[in-house]
Amino acid sequence: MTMRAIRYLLAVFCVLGVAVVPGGQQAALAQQLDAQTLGDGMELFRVRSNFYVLTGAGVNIGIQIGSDGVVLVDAGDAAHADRVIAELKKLTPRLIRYIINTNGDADHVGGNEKIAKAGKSLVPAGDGLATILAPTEVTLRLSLAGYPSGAWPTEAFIETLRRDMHLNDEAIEVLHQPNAHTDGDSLVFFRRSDVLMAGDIIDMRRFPVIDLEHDGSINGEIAALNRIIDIAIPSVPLVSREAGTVVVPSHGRLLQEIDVVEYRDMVTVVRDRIASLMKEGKSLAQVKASNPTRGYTKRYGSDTGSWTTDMFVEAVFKSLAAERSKRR
Amino acid sequence: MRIRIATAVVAGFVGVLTAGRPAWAQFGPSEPDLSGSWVPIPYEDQNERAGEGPLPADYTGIAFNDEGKALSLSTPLSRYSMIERQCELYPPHYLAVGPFGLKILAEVDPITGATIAYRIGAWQNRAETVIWMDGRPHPSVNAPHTNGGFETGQWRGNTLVTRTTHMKAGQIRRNAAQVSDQTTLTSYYIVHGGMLTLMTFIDDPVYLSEPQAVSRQFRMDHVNTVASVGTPCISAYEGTDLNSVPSYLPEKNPLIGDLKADFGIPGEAQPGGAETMYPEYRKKLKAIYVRPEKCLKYCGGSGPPLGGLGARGGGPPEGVGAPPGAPAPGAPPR
Repeated sequence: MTMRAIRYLLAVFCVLGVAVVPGGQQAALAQQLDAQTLGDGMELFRVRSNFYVLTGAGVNIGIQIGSDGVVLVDAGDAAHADRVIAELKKLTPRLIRYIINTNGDADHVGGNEKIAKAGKSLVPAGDGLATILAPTEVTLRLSLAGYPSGAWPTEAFIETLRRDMHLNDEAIEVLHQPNAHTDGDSLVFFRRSDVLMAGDIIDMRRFPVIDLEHDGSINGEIAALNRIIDIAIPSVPLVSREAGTVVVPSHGRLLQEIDVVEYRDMVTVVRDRIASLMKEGKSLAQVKASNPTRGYTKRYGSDTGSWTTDMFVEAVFKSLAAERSKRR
Repeated sequence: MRIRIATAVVAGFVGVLTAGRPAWAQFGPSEPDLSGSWVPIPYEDQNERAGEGPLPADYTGIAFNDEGKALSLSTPLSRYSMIERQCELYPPHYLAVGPFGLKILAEVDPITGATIAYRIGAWQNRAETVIWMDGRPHPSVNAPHTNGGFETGQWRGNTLVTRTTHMKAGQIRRNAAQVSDQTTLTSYYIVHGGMLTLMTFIDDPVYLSEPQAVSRQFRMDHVNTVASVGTPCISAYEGTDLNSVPSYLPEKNPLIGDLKADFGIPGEAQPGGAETMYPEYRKKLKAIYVRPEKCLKYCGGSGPPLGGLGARGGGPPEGVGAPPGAPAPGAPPR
């Protein structure tokens, strides 16, 4: 065989080698675009054409991108702020315009200051950094907790339960859910994208954290879950399609309306059981001893960690007791 | 020397051509084909699948652990009449539990002819199932759980072995017997002649103490074909309070005892549990089982048809005795 023949064969080899990559492998590549592993436990999901969810930065961060710039839902924790900025730069050259906090917990607001500094406000006033938007309760909490002022919301709303925006050709509703997980929870609904950022209202990994210290309540939590169900629309009437509103919790997997229904039902059933026992005059110890989470404990409960089953039952009990004493 | 170079080049060429492709693709398709219209052979679990349906709160034969029993016994069927649940679909394991046939389409790579995926058409209450055959990995824990789940498969001889993850929570029996969203499903699609046997193992670390095995039979039918798209669903008020979640308080399910009244089956068997799946359980019940004086329900035989889809009651009219082959008085339940 001559060198010419070898070169010819190599050329054919290269051309055909590219041409025959099986379609399945192409499809797999396409799928990887929808969920890209970034390393260090972080993943980027392309939920809609201009909407992404970045996981593993303390909380799931919503990223809406368009000609007006970048709107973020939550900043993640402080430890991941630089990484979040770096990933955003890889994703788009556009400026960060807004950070909307779904509550005032550290894993939601820890990155506020750094990420706001990396952006630029659309409003030509103040410090010019990206705007941080949240209900007033979040501002109060961050100031009381000793966060630097650069981490505080620069656009706090108190006058209404809803703050509207229209950015990147899309209506955005920020819906304050008073006294749910805390007193400063918001849902953020991107209407055209049909994506609802749900914050800590729903956490499929565990029972909902009812933070009584920050004015959370079980009935506010259930009201907020019902609000999500009101907003989210499943694939009806064509039910066999995998479609519908995407609900993004701050932790865990992406959800659809029926997942929230499942969770809401669980929380309501446990609330009702505890309310029934309280009506019978049972003490907290007796309520705990009756195991009111049975049927849900193995799925959502825990005996260890920062939020145990015992803590959840106690929070529900105390929340209901507080409401009862208010009514008297 | 030249021969060696040529051999190496050709070997490399063939190697690249075949990389990532199933072996059969090099020599033409020789693996079985799952595609076609498979109609159900309905005799297995007929009453549960397509007859009256399972009795409410009858969880006998389900490998529930204590949590599974507690969850299902606290769930009234009216839960599924809530507006937001009326169009809820069953999880993919309903393929084995439900009554309908399978319309299976192959998605083929236009260049290599390799099967990229099989698509099993949706039913009115089950989403389309896609079985990925191209070796792609399952998504991460943060990926959504879908109505169809995420299923991958591989042929082993005449059997397509698949694994499904990322499913939603849902019913394992159409009477509020539930498994969680952590469930995985292992399925064996066994093709033999014009027949298809589907053997499934539903494994839920949350609510089952061991995998639940469910099987079905189908036969290929080119004439009476199966639809590949489910019907639409429109929800409407069905009488369930719009502002509450129906539930039974723990140990207050009023249906416990129904199986004893209807069949003499002791109440302890009704919530199920792994031991109720096995024949040995009969020995345990033998001492406490009292056979009813006459058959009240599901009496079998060649009597009149049962009460119709979805209805309770039915069965042969008064006075019709036990079917041929029924156990003698005092014998344990079959």
